Amino acid sequence: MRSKAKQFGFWRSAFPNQLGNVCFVLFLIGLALFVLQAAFDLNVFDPDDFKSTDERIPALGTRRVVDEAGVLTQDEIGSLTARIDAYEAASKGQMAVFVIRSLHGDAIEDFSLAVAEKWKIGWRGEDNGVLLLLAVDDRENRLEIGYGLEGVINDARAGDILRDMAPFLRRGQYAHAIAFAIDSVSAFVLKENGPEKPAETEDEDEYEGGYPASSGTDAEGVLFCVIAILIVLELIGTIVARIMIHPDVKKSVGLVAMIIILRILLEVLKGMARGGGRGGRSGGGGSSRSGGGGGSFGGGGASGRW
Amino acid sequence: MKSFLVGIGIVVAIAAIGFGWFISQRNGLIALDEDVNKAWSDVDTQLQRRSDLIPNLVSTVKGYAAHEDSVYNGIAEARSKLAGATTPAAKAEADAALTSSLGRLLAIAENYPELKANENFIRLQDELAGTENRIAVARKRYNEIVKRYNMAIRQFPGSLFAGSLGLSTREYFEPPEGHDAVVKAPKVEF
Repeated sequence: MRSKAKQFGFWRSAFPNQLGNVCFVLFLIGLALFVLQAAFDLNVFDPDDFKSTDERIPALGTRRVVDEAGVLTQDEIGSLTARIDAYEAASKGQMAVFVIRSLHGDAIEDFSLAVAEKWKIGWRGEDNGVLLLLAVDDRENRLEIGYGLEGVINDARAGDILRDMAPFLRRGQYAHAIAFAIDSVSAFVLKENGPEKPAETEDEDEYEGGYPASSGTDAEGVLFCVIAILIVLELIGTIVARIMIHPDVKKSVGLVAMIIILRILLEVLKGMARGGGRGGRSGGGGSSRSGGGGGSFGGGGASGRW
Repeated sequence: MKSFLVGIGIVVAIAAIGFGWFISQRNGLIALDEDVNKAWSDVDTQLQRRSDLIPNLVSTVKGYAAHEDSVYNGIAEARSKLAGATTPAAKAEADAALTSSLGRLLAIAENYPELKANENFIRLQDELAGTENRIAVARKRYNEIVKRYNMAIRQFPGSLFAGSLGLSTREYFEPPEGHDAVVKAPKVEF
Protein backbone atom coordinates (compact mmCIF):
# COMPACT_ATOMS: atom_id res chain seq x y z
CA MET A 1 0.00 0.00 0.00
CA ARG A 2 2.79 2.29 0.88
CA SER A 3 4.51 1.88 -2.47
CA LYS A 4 1.23 2.34 -4.34
CA ALA A 5 0.47 5.48 -2.40
CA LYS A 6 3.81 6.87 -3.34
CA GLN A 7 2.75 6.92 -7.00
CA PHE A 8 -0.01 9.39 -6.15
CA GLY A 9 2.34 11.61 -4.32
CA PHE A 10 2.71 12.62 -0.76
CA TRP A 11 -0.70 14.15 -0.16
CA ARG A 12 -2.64 11.09 -1.40
CA SER A 13 -0.67 8.88 0.89
CA ALA A 14 -1.22 11.22 3.78
CA PHE A 15 -4.96 11.72 3.27
CA PRO A 16 -6.50 8.65 1.68
CA ASN A 17 -10.17 9.12 2.65
CA GLN A 18 -12.89 11.54 3.80
CA LEU A 19 -11.35 12.02 7.22
CA GLY A 20 -8.13 12.63 5.41
CA ASN A 21 -9.70 15.42 3.37
CA VAL A 22 -10.93 17.14 6.50
CA CYS A 23 -7.48 16.76 7.99
CA PHE A 24 -6.01 18.21 4.83
CA VAL A 25 -8.15 21.35 5.01
CA LEU A 26 -7.37 21.78 8.71
CA PHE A 27 -3.73 21.26 7.91
CA LEU A 28 -3.79 23.98 5.25
CA ILE A 29 -5.46 26.43 7.62
CA GLY A 30 -2.96 25.60 10.32
CA LEU A 31 -0.10 26.01 7.89
CA ALA A 32 -1.38 29.38 6.68
CA LEU A 33 -1.75 30.67 10.25
CA PHE A 34 1.65 29.36 11.16
CA VAL A 35 3.39 30.99 8.22
CA LEU A 36 1.54 34.26 8.74
CA GLN A 37 2.51 34.32 12.41
CA ALA A 38 6.12 33.54 11.59
CA ALA A 39 6.16 36.29 8.98
CA PHE A 40 4.82 38.81 11.49
CA ASP A 41 7.21 37.65 14.20
CA LEU A 42 10.20 38.09 11.94
CA ASN A 43 9.13 41.52 10.68
CA VAL A 44 8.97 40.49 7.02
CA PHE A 45 6.47 43.20 6.28
CA ASP A 46 6.09 46.25 8.48
CA PRO A 47 3.41 45.29 10.96
CA ASP A 48 3.72 48.47 13.01
CA ASP A 49 0.73 50.07 11.37
CA PHE A 50 -1.50 47.34 12.78
CA LYS A 51 0.03 47.40 16.23
CA SER A 52 -1.14 49.24 19.31
CA THR A 53 1.17 51.77 20.92
CA ASP A 54 2.31 49.28 23.51
CA GLU A 55 3.14 46.64 20.92
CA ARG A 56 5.39 49.08 19.09
CA ILE A 57 7.64 49.44 22.11
CA PRO A 58 10.33 46.75 22.31
CA ALA A 59 11.60 45.50 25.64
CA LEU A 60 14.61 47.45 26.86
CA GLY A 61 16.55 44.50 28.25
CA THR A 62 19.91 45.85 29.34
CA ARG A 63 20.26 48.17 26.37
CA ARG A 64 20.46 51.93 26.68
CA VAL A 65 20.29 53.05 23.06
CA VAL A 66 17.52 51.49 20.99
CA ASP A 67 17.61 52.58 17.36
CA GLU A 68 14.66 51.28 15.38
CA ALA A 69 15.09 53.92 12.69
CA GLY A 70 18.54 52.70 11.72
CA VAL A 71 20.14 56.15 11.79
CA LEU A 72 22.99 55.13 14.11
CA THR A 73 25.90 52.84 13.28
CA GLN A 74 26.90 50.03 15.62
CA ASP A 75 29.96 52.07 16.64
CA GLU A 76 27.82 55.08 17.46
CA ILE A 77 25.42 52.97 19.50
CA GLY A 78 28.41 51.54 21.34
CA SER A 79 29.96 54.91 22.15
CA LEU A 80 26.61 56.48 23.16
CA THR A 81 25.96 53.50 25.41
CA ALA A 82 29.39 53.97 26.98
CA ARG A 83 28.55 57.64 27.54
CA ILE A 84 25.31 56.68 29.30
CA ASP A 85 27.15 54.03 31.33
CA ALA A 86 29.56 56.71 32.57
CA TYR A 87 26.65 59.00 33.44
CA GLU A 88 24.83 56.23 35.27
CA ALA A 89 27.93 55.26 37.20
CA ALA A 90 28.49 58.86 38.30
CA SER A 91 24.90 59.82 39.03
CA LYS A 92 23.19 56.60 40.17
CA GLY A 93 20.38 57.49 37.77
CA GLN A 94 19.38 55.74 34.57
CA MET A 95 18.99 57.04 31.06
CA ALA A 96 17.77 55.53 27.79
CA VAL A 97 17.54 56.71 24.21
CA PHE A 98 14.87 55.50 21.79
CA VAL A 99 15.02 56.41 18.10
CA ILE A 100 12.03 55.54 15.95
CA ARG A 101 10.99 56.31 12.39
CA SER A 102 7.43 57.40 13.01
CA LEU A 103 4.98 58.02 15.83
CA HIS A 104 2.22 56.48 13.68
CA GLY A 105 -0.07 59.36 14.51
CA ASP A 106 0.39 59.31 18.29
CA ALA A 107 1.14 62.51 20.16
CA ILE A 108 4.81 62.39 21.12
CA GLU A 109 3.93 63.06 24.76
CA ASP A 110 1.64 60.02 24.87
CA PHE A 111 4.08 57.70 23.13
CA SER A 112 7.02 58.90 25.19
CA LEU A 113 5.16 58.32 28.45
CA ALA A 114 4.13 54.85 27.27
CA VAL A 115 7.80 54.04 26.61
CA ALA A 116 8.85 55.45 29.97
CA GLU A 117 6.16 53.48 31.77
CA LYS A 118 7.12 50.27 29.99
CA TRP A 119 10.88 50.57 30.40
CA LYS A 120 10.68 51.91 33.97
CA ILE A 121 14.01 53.71 33.68
CA GLY A 122 15.35 55.06 36.96
CA TRP A 123 15.35 53.33 40.31
CA ARG A 124 12.19 52.59 42.20
CA GLY A 125 11.53 55.21 44.85
CA GLU A 126 14.18 57.57 43.43
CA ASP A 127 12.46 57.89 40.05
CA ASN A 128 15.68 59.24 38.57
CA GLY A 129 15.20 58.12 34.97
CA VAL A 130 15.56 60.13 31.78
CA LEU A 131 14.22 59.08 28.40
CA LEU A 132 15.21 60.75 25.14
CA LEU A 133 12.86 59.96 22.27
CA LEU A 134 13.47 60.90 18.64
CA ALA A 135 10.95 60.34 15.86
CA VAL A 136 13.08 60.82 12.78
CA ASP A 137 10.43 61.08 10.07
CA ASP A 138 8.17 63.28 12.19
CA ARG A 139 11.19 65.45 13.12
CA GLU A 140 9.96 65.54 16.71
CA ASN A 141 11.80 64.78 19.91
CA ARG A 142 11.06 64.67 23.59
CA LEU A 143 13.01 64.52 26.79
CA GLU A 144 10.97 62.69 29.43
CA ILE A 145 12.13 63.37 32.97
CA GLY A 146 11.41 61.05 35.91
CA TYR A 147 9.67 62.42 39.00
CA GLY A 148 12.89 62.49 41.00
CA LEU A 149 14.76 64.69 38.52
CA GLU A 150 11.98 67.17 37.74
CA GLY A 151 13.56 69.67 40.10
CA VAL A 152 17.05 69.35 38.61
CA ILE A 153 16.00 69.30 34.97
CA ASN A 154 12.89 71.44 34.94
CA ASP A 155 10.83 71.74 31.80
CA ALA A 156 12.61 74.91 30.67
CA ARG A 157 16.01 73.21 30.94
CA ALA A 158 14.67 70.18 29.08
CA GLY A 159 13.41 72.59 26.41
CA ASP A 160 16.85 74.25 26.26
CA ILE A 161 18.52 70.89 25.69
CA LEU A 162 16.11 70.05 22.86
CA ARG A 163 16.56 73.48 21.26
CA ASP A 164 20.33 73.09 21.40
CA MET A 165 20.09 69.63 19.83
CA ALA A 166 18.12 70.95 16.87
CA PRO A 167 21.06 72.24 14.75
CA PHE A 168 22.75 68.82 14.89
CA LEU A 169 19.51 67.07 14.05
CA ARG A 170 18.83 69.33 11.09
CA ARG A 171 22.22 68.34 9.69
CA GLY A 172 21.40 64.67 10.23
CA GLN A 173 24.06 64.34 12.93
CA TYR A 174 21.94 62.13 15.16
CA ALA A 175 24.80 60.68 17.18
CA HIS A 176 26.16 64.18 17.89
CA ALA A 177 22.75 65.41 18.96
CA ILE A 178 22.18 62.44 21.28
CA ALA A 179 25.68 62.72 22.76
CA PHE A 180 25.00 66.40 23.41
CA ALA A 181 21.75 65.56 25.19
CA ILE A 182 23.40 62.89 27.34
CA ASP A 183 26.18 65.32 28.31
CA SER A 184 23.68 68.09 29.12
CA VAL A 185 21.56 65.82 31.30
CA SER A 186 24.72 64.58 32.96
CA ALA A 187 25.93 68.14 33.60
CA PHE A 188 22.66 69.21 35.20
CA VAL A 189 22.29 66.11 37.36
CA LEU A 190 25.91 65.90 38.50
CA LYS A 191 26.10 69.61 39.25
CA GLU A 192 23.10 69.24 41.52
CA ASN A 193 23.91 65.98 43.25
CA GLY A 194 27.67 65.87 42.98
CA PRO A 195 29.44 62.76 41.71
CA GLU A 196 28.51 59.67 43.62
CA LYS A 197 29.90 56.21 43.95
CA PRO A 198 29.07 53.84 41.12
CA ALA A 199 25.57 52.47 41.46
CA GLU A 200 25.35 49.16 43.20
CA THR A 201 22.89 47.02 41.37
CA GLU A 202 20.51 45.52 43.84
CA ASP A 203 19.38 42.03 43.15
CA GLU A 204 15.89 42.42 44.51
CA ASP A 205 15.09 45.19 42.07
CA GLU A 206 12.62 43.96 39.55
CA TYR A 207 12.81 44.81 35.94
CA GLU A 208 11.19 43.65 32.76
CA GLY A 209 13.12 40.60 31.67
CA GLY A 210 14.85 40.46 28.34
CA TYR A 211 12.47 39.66 25.52
CA PRO A 212 14.70 40.56 22.64
CA ALA A 213 13.18 42.32 19.69
CA SER A 214 13.31 40.16 16.61
CA SER A 215 15.67 41.42 13.99
CA GLY A 216 14.54 41.93 10.43
CA THR A 217 14.98 38.96 8.10
CA ASP A 218 14.26 38.68 4.41
CA ALA A 219 11.36 36.65 3.08
CA GLU A 220 13.62 33.96 1.65
CA GLY A 221 15.12 33.26 5.03
CA VAL A 222 11.69 33.03 6.62
CA LEU A 223 10.45 30.61 3.97
CA PHE A 224 13.52 28.46 4.43
CA CYS A 225 13.08 28.45 8.19
CA VAL A 226 9.41 27.57 7.93
CA ILE A 227 10.07 24.67 5.58
CA ALA A 228 12.91 23.40 7.74
CA ILE A 229 10.74 23.65 10.83
CA LEU A 230 7.87 21.86 9.09
CA ILE A 231 10.10 18.97 8.02
CA VAL A 232 11.53 18.57 11.49
CA LEU A 233 8.05 18.86 13.02
CA GLU A 234 6.65 16.26 10.68
CA LEU A 235 9.40 13.83 11.59
CA ILE A 236 9.05 14.37 15.30
CA GLY A 237 5.25 14.48 15.19
CA THR A 238 4.98 11.29 13.16
CA ILE A 239 7.36 9.43 15.43
CA VAL A 240 5.55 10.65 18.55
CA ALA A 241 2.11 9.90 17.11
CA ARG A 242 3.13 6.42 15.94
CA ILE A 243 4.49 5.54 19.35
CA MET A 244 1.64 7.13 21.31
CA ILE A 245 -1.39 6.36 19.14
CA HIS A 246 -0.93 3.71 16.49
CA PRO A 247 1.91 2.57 14.26
CA ASP A 248 -0.18 3.25 11.11
CA VAL A 249 -0.78 6.94 11.83
CA LYS A 250 -0.22 9.03 8.73
CA LYS A 251 2.59 11.49 8.56
CA SER A 252 0.23 14.42 8.14
CA VAL A 253 -1.61 13.74 11.40
CA GLY A 254 1.65 13.95 13.26
CA LEU A 255 2.44 17.20 11.49
CA VAL A 256 -0.90 18.80 12.32
CA ALA A 257 -0.60 17.67 15.93
CA MET A 258 2.89 19.09 16.15
CA ILE A 259 1.85 22.43 14.63
CA ILE A 260 -0.95 22.77 17.17
CA ILE A 261 1.37 21.84 20.03
CA LEU A 262 3.96 24.31 18.79
CA ARG A 263 1.44 27.15 18.54
CA ILE A 264 0.34 26.52 22.09
CA LEU A 265 3.95 26.40 23.26
CA LEU A 266 4.68 29.64 21.41
CA GLU A 267 1.77 31.41 23.09
CA VAL A 268 2.77 30.09 26.51
CA LEU A 269 6.35 31.25 25.98
CA LYS A 270 5.17 34.66 24.83
CA GLY A 271 2.90 34.95 27.85
CA MET A 272 5.77 34.04 30.14
CA ALA A 273 8.09 36.50 28.46
CA ARG A 274 5.55 39.31 28.79
CA GLY A 275 4.04 38.67 32.19
CA GLY A 276 6.41 36.51 34.15
CA GLY A 277 9.65 37.85 32.79
CA ARG A 278 10.31 39.78 35.96
CA GLY A 279 12.82 38.80 38.56
CA GLY A 280 15.47 37.31 36.32
CA ARG A 281 18.66 39.09 35.45
CA SER A 282 19.89 38.77 31.92
CA GLY A 283 23.62 38.49 31.55
CA GLY A 284 24.17 41.30 29.09
CA GLY A 285 27.51 39.88 27.97
CA GLY A 286 29.32 40.36 31.25
CA SER A 287 28.18 43.97 31.55
CA SER A 288 27.00 45.25 34.90
CA ARG A 289 24.27 47.22 33.20
CA SER A 290 20.82 46.44 34.49
CA GLY A 291 17.34 46.79 33.06
CA GLY A 292 14.92 49.54 34.00
CA GLY A 293 14.88 49.93 37.77
CA GLY A 294 11.18 50.66 38.29
CA GLY A 295 11.23 54.46 38.14
CA SER A 296 8.03 56.45 37.66
CA PHE A 297 7.26 59.33 35.35
CA GLY A 298 4.56 61.95 35.64
CA GLY A 299 4.80 63.71 32.30
CA GLY A 300 7.64 66.10 33.13
CA GLY A 301 10.06 67.21 30.43
CA ALA A 302 9.71 68.99 27.13
CA SER A 303 8.90 68.30 23.49
CA GLY A 304 10.47 69.87 20.45
CA ARG A 305 10.75 69.78 16.69
CA TRP A 306 13.63 70.21 14.34
CA MET B 1 -18.14 10.60 65.54
CA LYS B 2 -15.43 10.90 62.98
CA SER B 3 -17.83 12.11 60.29
CA PHE B 4 -19.30 14.60 62.77
CA LEU B 5 -15.82 16.09 63.34
CA VAL B 6 -15.23 16.23 59.62
CA GLY B 7 -18.55 18.07 59.21
CA ILE B 8 -17.64 20.58 61.90
CA GLY B 9 -14.26 21.04 60.26
CA ILE B 10 -15.84 21.76 56.90
CA VAL B 11 -18.27 24.27 58.39
CA VAL B 12 -15.45 26.05 60.25
CA ALA B 13 -13.29 26.10 57.14
CA ILE B 14 -16.09 27.59 55.05
CA ALA B 15 -16.80 30.18 57.73
CA ALA B 16 -13.12 31.10 57.91
CA ILE B 17 -12.85 31.42 54.14
CA GLY B 18 -16.04 33.46 54.05
CA PHE B 19 -14.80 35.80 56.78
CA GLY B 20 -11.44 36.19 55.05
CA TRP B 21 -13.22 36.98 51.80
CA PHE B 22 -15.43 39.52 53.57
CA ILE B 23 -12.42 41.29 55.10
CA SER B 24 -10.44 41.30 51.89
CA GLN B 25 -13.38 42.74 49.96
CA ARG B 26 -13.81 45.53 52.48
CA ASN B 27 -10.12 46.34 52.64
CA GLY B 28 -9.90 46.25 48.87
CA LEU B 29 -12.59 48.93 48.62
CA ILE B 30 -10.94 51.07 51.27
CA ALA B 31 -7.58 50.83 49.50
CA LEU B 32 -9.21 51.75 46.22
CA ASP B 33 -10.87 54.75 47.85
CA GLU B 34 -7.46 55.91 49.06
CA ASP B 35 -6.02 55.43 45.58
CA VAL B 36 -8.71 57.71 44.20
CA ASN B 37 -7.86 60.36 46.81
CA LYS B 38 -4.18 60.11 45.96
CA ALA B 39 -4.82 60.37 42.22
CA TRP B 40 -7.05 63.37 42.78
CA SER B 41 -4.43 65.16 44.86
CA ASP B 42 -1.97 64.61 41.98
CA VAL B 43 -4.40 66.30 39.59
CA ASP B 44 -4.98 69.09 42.06
CA THR B 45 -1.25 69.67 42.58
CA GLN B 46 -0.66 70.06 38.87
CA LEU B 47 -3.66 72.37 38.42
CA GLN B 48 -2.27 74.52 41.20
CA ARG B 49 1.16 74.42 39.64
CA ARG B 50 -0.17 75.70 36.36
CA SER B 51 -2.10 78.42 38.12
CA ASP B 52 1.09 79.45 39.95
CA LEU B 53 3.03 79.69 36.69
CA ILE B 54 0.63 82.13 35.15
CA PRO B 55 1.60 85.36 37.02
CA ASN B 56 5.16 85.00 35.68
CA LEU B 57 3.86 84.51 32.19
CA VAL B 58 1.50 87.46 32.51
CA SER B 59 4.21 89.79 33.80
CA THR B 60 6.52 88.79 30.94
CA VAL B 61 3.80 89.47 28.38
CA LYS B 62 2.93 92.75 30.12
CA GLY B 63 6.46 93.95 29.51
CA TYR B 64 5.70 93.95 25.79
CA ALA B 65 1.94 94.41 25.66
CA ALA B 66 0.82 96.66 28.49
CA HIS B 67 -2.66 97.50 27.26
CA GLU B 68 -4.41 94.15 27.10
CA ASP B 69 -6.25 94.61 30.38
CA SER B 70 -9.32 92.59 29.44
CA VAL B 71 -7.14 89.52 28.88
CA TYR B 72 -5.21 90.01 32.12
CA ASN B 73 -8.42 90.53 34.08
CA GLY B 74 -9.96 87.41 32.54
CA ILE B 75 -6.94 85.40 33.66
CA ALA B 76 -7.05 86.79 37.19
CA GLU B 77 -10.74 85.99 37.41
CA ALA B 78 -10.28 82.45 36.16
CA ARG B 79 -7.44 81.89 38.61
CA SER B 80 -9.49 82.98 41.59
CA LYS B 81 -12.36 80.81 40.42
CA LEU B 82 -10.02 77.84 40.24
CA ALA B 83 -8.76 78.58 43.75
CA GLY B 84 -12.35 78.55 45.04
CA ALA B 85 -13.43 75.35 43.27
CA THR B 86 -13.54 72.16 45.30
CA THR B 87 -15.28 69.37 43.38
CA PRO B 88 -13.72 67.79 40.29
CA ALA B 89 -16.52 69.16 38.10
CA ALA B 90 -16.08 72.71 39.43
CA LYS B 91 -12.32 72.50 39.06
CA ALA B 92 -12.66 71.19 35.54
CA GLU B 93 -14.90 74.10 34.63
CA ALA B 94 -12.63 76.72 36.21
CA ASP B 95 -9.63 75.10 34.60
CA ALA B 96 -11.29 75.21 31.20
CA ALA B 97 -11.99 78.92 31.68
CA LEU B 98 -8.36 79.48 32.61
CA THR B 99 -7.28 77.52 29.55
CA SER B 100 -9.31 79.68 27.20
CA SER B 101 -8.04 82.93 28.72
CA LEU B 102 -4.49 81.61 28.49
CA GLY B 103 -5.14 80.92 24.84
CA ARG B 104 -5.97 84.59 24.39
CA LEU B 105 -2.79 85.58 26.22
CA LEU B 106 -0.66 83.44 23.93
CA ALA B 107 -2.50 84.84 20.93
CA ILE B 108 -1.31 88.32 21.96
CA ALA B 109 2.24 87.06 21.89
CA GLU B 110 1.82 86.28 18.20
CA ASN B 111 1.67 90.04 17.56
CA TYR B 112 4.95 90.76 19.33
CA PRO B 113 7.92 89.11 17.59
CA GLU B 114 10.29 90.39 20.28
CA LEU B 115 8.18 88.73 22.96
CA LYS B 116 8.12 85.49 21.02
CA ALA B 117 11.92 85.59 20.85
CA ASN B 118 12.26 86.43 24.55
CA GLU B 119 14.16 83.61 26.18
CA ASN B 120 12.25 83.93 29.42
CA PHE B 121 8.96 83.72 27.56
CA ILE B 122 10.10 80.64 25.60
CA ARG B 123 11.14 78.89 28.77
CA LEU B 124 7.91 79.82 30.56
CA GLN B 125 6.07 78.25 27.65
CA ASP B 126 8.12 75.08 28.18
CA GLU B 127 7.02 75.06 31.79
CA LEU B 128 3.43 75.70 30.81
CA ALA B 129 3.45 72.92 28.21
CA GLY B 130 5.17 70.59 30.67
CA THR B 131 2.63 71.31 33.37
CA GLU B 132 -0.24 70.80 30.98
CA ASN B 133 1.24 67.47 30.02
CA ARG B 134 1.48 66.58 33.69
CA ILE B 135 -2.16 67.56 34.15
CA ALA B 136 -3.07 65.32 31.23
CA VAL B 137 -1.12 62.42 32.73
CA ALA B 138 -2.56 62.94 36.21
CA ARG B 139 -6.04 63.29 34.74
CA LYS B 140 -5.74 60.07 32.78
CA ARG B 141 -4.51 58.19 35.84
CA TYR B 142 -7.25 59.70 38.01
CA ASN B 143 -10.00 58.81 35.56
CA GLU B 144 -8.69 55.26 35.24
CA ILE B 145 -8.70 54.73 38.98
CA VAL B 146 -12.13 56.35 39.35
CA LYS B 147 -13.48 54.00 36.71
CA ARG B 148 -12.14 50.99 38.62
CA TYR B 149 -13.45 52.39 41.89
CA ASN B 150 -16.91 53.18 40.56
CA MET B 151 -17.20 49.75 39.01
CA ALA B 152 -16.04 48.09 42.22
CA ILE B 153 -18.60 49.79 44.43
CA ARG B 154 -21.50 49.44 42.00
CA GLN B 155 -20.96 45.83 41.00
CA PHE B 156 -21.62 42.81 43.16
CA PRO B 157 -20.01 42.01 45.60
CA GLY B 158 -18.57 45.48 46.23
CA SER B 159 -22.07 46.94 46.22
CA LEU B 160 -22.77 44.96 49.42
CA PHE B 161 -20.09 46.81 51.34
CA ALA B 162 -20.07 50.25 49.75
CA GLY B 163 -23.08 51.54 51.70
CA SER B 164 -21.78 50.48 55.13
CA LEU B 165 -18.38 52.05 54.35
CA GLY B 166 -20.04 55.28 53.24
CA LEU B 167 -18.55 55.06 49.76
CA SER B 168 -20.34 56.58 46.80
CA THR B 169 -19.38 56.99 43.17
CA ARG B 170 -16.79 59.64 42.30
CA GLU B 171 -16.83 62.21 39.54
CA TYR B 172 -14.53 61.94 36.59
CA PHE B 173 -12.27 64.88 35.83
CA GLU B 174 -13.36 65.89 32.35
CA PRO B 175 -13.26 69.29 30.70
CA PRO B 176 -16.78 70.64 30.05
CA GLU B 177 -18.26 70.10 26.60
CA GLY B 178 -16.66 72.18 23.88
CA HIS B 179 -13.45 72.89 25.75
CA ASP B 180 -9.97 71.62 25.08
CA ALA B 181 -8.05 70.04 27.90
CA VAL B 182 -4.90 71.99 27.15
CA VAL B 183 -4.04 75.36 25.72
CA LYS B 184 -3.43 75.04 22.03
CA ALA B 185 -0.20 76.98 22.30
CA PRO B 186 1.86 77.16 19.12
CA LYS B 187 4.55 74.48 19.40
CA VAL B 188 7.99 75.89 19.93
CA GLU B 189 9.72 75.90 16.56
CA PHE B 190 13.46 76.05 16.31
